[in-house]
Amino acid sequence: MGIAVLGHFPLYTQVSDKLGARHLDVFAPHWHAWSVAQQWRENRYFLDRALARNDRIVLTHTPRRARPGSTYDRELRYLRNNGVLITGFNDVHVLL
Amino acid sequence: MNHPMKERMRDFERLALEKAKAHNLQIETVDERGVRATLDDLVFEFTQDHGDLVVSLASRHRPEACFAAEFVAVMLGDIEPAELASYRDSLDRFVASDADGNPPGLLRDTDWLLDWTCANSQRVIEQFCRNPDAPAQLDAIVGGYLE
Repeated sequence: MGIAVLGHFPLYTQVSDKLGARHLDVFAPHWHAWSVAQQWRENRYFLDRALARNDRIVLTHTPRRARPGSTYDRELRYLRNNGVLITGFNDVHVLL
Repeated sequence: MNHPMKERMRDFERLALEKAKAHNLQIETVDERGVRATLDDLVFEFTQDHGDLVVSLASRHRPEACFAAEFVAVMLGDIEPAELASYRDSLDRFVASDADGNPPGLLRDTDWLLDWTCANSQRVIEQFCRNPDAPAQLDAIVGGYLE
């Protein structure tokens, strides 16, 4: 069990580093060279591993700020579809 | 902070500052939370989602109640609730599917959001920044979208 951090750049990478947590971190040139479908596959794999490990999930940004159609929006939907309850609208809150 | 991260920060800040200046916003802060800029009572917060700039809006009087600009446009009636609901359904279908494929694109692009907010700034300030009921109305919109 560990901690997985989701949210927007730059804060989520910095919170993740401070917590010694995991976040989706793909070398930018690789990420941008991939198709959106490939990016989502990698993203989903990251979430699946976090769920399988029963990681605590930290959101650095409230779902109020999840831009419709963004990666973060899809991540929140994927977690919800996998039984994670997303509650509260404060920044930096913890799920699981 | 390692070199690739510094470079990523520089790229993000350059892009956000360029957009803010192009829309005549007053730059307030640039830090690890992102870039904050204002237009009268309206606070713009720029962050980034895997390369895409995210524009969130808050009132200067309630900076903690910050919402993606799309939700504010829905509250003001300039994005139809039916369009948001239909978009939510298509995203849900995509996320629930194991099939590989491209997800739906963003609901609105960044320039549309910035142009809309600035062109309608007086309405946004009146109905979002100075309306004490706005956060509750927006939470209902966000809650419905996430359901």
